[in-house]
Amino acid sequence: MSRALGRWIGGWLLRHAVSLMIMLPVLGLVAAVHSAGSRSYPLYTDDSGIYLAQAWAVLHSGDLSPYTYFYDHPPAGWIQVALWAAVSGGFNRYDSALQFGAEVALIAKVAAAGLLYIFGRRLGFSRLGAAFAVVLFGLCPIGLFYGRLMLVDNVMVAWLIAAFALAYAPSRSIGAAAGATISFAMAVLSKETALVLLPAFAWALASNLDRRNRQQVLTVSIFCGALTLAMYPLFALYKGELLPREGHTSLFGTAAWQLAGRPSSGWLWDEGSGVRTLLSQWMALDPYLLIAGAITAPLAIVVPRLRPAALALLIGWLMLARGGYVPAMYVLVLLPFSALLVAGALEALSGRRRVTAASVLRVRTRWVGLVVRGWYSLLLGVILLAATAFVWTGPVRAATTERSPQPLLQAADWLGAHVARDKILVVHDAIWTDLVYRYGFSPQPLLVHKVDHDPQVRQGLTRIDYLAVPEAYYRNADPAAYPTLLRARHHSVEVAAFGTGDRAVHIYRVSSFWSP
Amino acid sequence: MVIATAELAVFWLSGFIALASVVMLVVAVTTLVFQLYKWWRPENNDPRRYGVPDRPRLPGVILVPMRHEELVAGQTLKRLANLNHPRYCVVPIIDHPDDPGTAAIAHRAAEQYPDRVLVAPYPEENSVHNKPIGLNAAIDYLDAAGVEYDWVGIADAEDLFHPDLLQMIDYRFRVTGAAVVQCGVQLMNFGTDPASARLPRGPLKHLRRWVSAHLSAWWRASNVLEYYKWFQSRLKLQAAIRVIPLGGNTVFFRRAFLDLVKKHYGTIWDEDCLTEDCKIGILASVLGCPVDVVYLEHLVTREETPSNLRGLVRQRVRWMQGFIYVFGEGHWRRLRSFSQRVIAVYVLGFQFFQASTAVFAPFALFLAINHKAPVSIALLATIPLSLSLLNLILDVQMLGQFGRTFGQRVRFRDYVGLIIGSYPYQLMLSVAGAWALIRHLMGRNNWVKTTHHGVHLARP
Repeated sequence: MSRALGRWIGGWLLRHAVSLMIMLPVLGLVAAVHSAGSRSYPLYTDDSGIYLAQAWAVLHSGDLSPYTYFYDHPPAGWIQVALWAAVSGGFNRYDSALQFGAEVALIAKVAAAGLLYIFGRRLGFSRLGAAFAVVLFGLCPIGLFYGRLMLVDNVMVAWLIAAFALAYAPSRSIGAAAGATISFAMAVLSKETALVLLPAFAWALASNLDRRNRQQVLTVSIFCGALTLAMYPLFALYKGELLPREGHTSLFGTAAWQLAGRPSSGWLWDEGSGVRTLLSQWMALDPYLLIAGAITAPLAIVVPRLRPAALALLIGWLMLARGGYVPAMYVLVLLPFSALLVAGALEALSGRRRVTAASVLRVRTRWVGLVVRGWYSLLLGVILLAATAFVWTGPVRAATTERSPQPLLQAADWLGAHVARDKILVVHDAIWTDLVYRYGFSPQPLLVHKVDHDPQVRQGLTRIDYLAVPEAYYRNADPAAYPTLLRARHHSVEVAAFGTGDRAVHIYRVSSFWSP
Repeated sequence: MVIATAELAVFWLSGFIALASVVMLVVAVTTLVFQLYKWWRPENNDPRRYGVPDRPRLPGVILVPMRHEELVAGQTLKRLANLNHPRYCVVPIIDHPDDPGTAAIAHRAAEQYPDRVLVAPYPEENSVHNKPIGLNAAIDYLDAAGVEYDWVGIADAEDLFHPDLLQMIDYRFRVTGAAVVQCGVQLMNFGTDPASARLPRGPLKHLRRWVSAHLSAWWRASNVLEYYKWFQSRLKLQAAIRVIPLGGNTVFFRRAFLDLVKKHYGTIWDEDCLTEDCKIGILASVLGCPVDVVYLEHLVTREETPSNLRGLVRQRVRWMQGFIYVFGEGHWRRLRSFSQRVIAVYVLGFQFFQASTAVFAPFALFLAINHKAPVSIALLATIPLSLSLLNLILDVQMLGQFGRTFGQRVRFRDYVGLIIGSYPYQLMLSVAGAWALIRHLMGRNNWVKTTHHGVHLARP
């Protein structure tokens, strides 16, 4: 058995030797750029903190959240993080859980990049074309910003690309198709936003069927995907939390609120709408990849092989335009498909037959001549690569420079050094896990959001001793958002301060004579 | 104290459910993979995968053990004597004093086709009647008679080989260099169609037949599909892994292979084994002789399901007991690679566990939910049960495919019968497995023979 396995691995290495020689340095570059300076940029967000806290809860108490889990997101994302932490001892290896989170994000990024190469190759790209897509995806400044955070979206993107890559498996086997649907289901369970790409994924899967085993492939793969997906509602069902009940969280109750009750981010064309703000934030990070992808997506419709991927990107953009709630990290879904389509358009223009087979472009390649087009495309590729290098050098250099530690981490260290462990703290999500696990605060510190919005937490609240949240929370435009927090600060004195501006973290000691 | 005991009980129960679920999951997944092999990759199901046979050139014999087969013997011998192959002969094996009726039919056929049919006598001094004794005796008889042959085929008394079957066998022997070629056998009468059951004697016979056809449809559909899956997928996969229990008929051996078996083990077919066909397959694997499996829809040997449920259970008990016997003998331990031995244990020793996973899966989930096991364990217990559902969906799909392939109309009630019958069928298999194990442990291994009524012969 081991000999057969050895032979198989040897054969595999031999067959993919060229790809490996190209991809190993590229992935190394992606990993290096991704991790360099990731401690100081970007600033930690509440989302990455809460996912880490939830992963920690899975590991240490077997619950899905340190508070009542209310089905805000499917839990597979942080369960995977918890599994990795359990296997690798992740929470013990770093000074801060956030650095473990950065490690998870790095793994997700490298996995997604490698899978993107496979996806591109299976679409018929040349090795250089697929590697170019990986470079675009791996070095894009938007990806560096959101990709470095411990967001379940990063885990989702890796699963999503795995799903597409497997859907295009050349073996067209039941195993590959079932792997694809299970990966897609894992993407959805990691972050539910992946579900909107179902039509594109289904198209990709359908375009790679073989008449000789189509029936069985479809039956088995659809069933496997549905079964994986069904674990989430089944979980709620077994806990008796599927349907809304008085005094209980429920999957359907939260879903109804998420679909209908959440404030819309507005329409893309509304000046000053939430989506416009988001878009301008993304464009400030990097306009090139998103715009290039958006331009090539309609063009890619001409090439049948690229259509499912183009549909994925179009759906992604349509979700922005639809006028519903859009979170900032939503952009993570757009990046790999943009990178892929830019490279794919280049391949198609160069007349690469495996990409353009049976498309309109195919006809033209005959009389233009492959060599000429090949040279032009090479030239175009070189120009694009140079342009990429030119426009991205600045932002990438900025992103990879190490700076002083982040205010939130300094605040956590200060709290650990100066505050008795039995004090009640109200803290930002990002440092919660460190305070609980590394510094051993007990009772556990309160998440700032829960203080004002979780009825259970509010009930048990008798005193608050310290506040450690970024200044932005006190300057919130809506004073009704955090009333308790504001009143507590009103009765406190500042004992330490880190950083400047909105992101600065001031630590306040609250008067013991005041009670919330 | 009471609470602590209760908690401990729940803890152990949870552990037990988790363990059982994992085992069931492994068995369910492997069962699925085994039976989906034909469709796993497109090329496994390519219509041209066996090639186009050229002119046959290897001489051979077809052995037909017969005992009390007056109903079907004449028709079978006539068909077997008229296959498209230049050099072969048909050898019915008959115990003359015991069975004069069949003997008369066989000798009439031998007179009619003097260069095709040759009657071999079953050893009269032997009071035990079973297939391997007859086959071994026939080989000795042929060698003594100086018949020239390169391969030996085995047919059952009711088997109607396709006229072109021998061409394909001949071709596959030469192209693949296989020691054994196993061809597809397919049960045909699957459903509620009254013509699929025997017409009884007595009053209201048509009504009674209609009723009995409808009442037995639940297990016959599953039985038919079992063959459909076994010969198309399972055996092909096992041939690829090179651990394969063979079928009892439409199986062809190279003479060199039979000589090799005789040289190593003294006898060709094990006369004490209830499933000598399974055993010789394992011996082929142990000797490293490749086996080729051919399932082409138009070439399969069509057979009938057992006439009643009892017959099916007895047949299963015999098979499983034979498998346990072969497992206990331990020849499989000399298989070359570790993975082959694992598969051998799985195929021979755990055959009967497969059905029981489907049977116990609902109970595992029920226990998990009712005894407040952790949600993760309840979820785990759900997966094997869900895979049984997938199996059922695939069965329904395959029944439709079966109908289309063999030009038989599958009616809605046939599907209903299949669905209703799927769980009881697994239950039946589990019972048969347990019974086989008990019989084996008690050392009872007398012959339980399937009776043939020739229902499939009347069909166009």
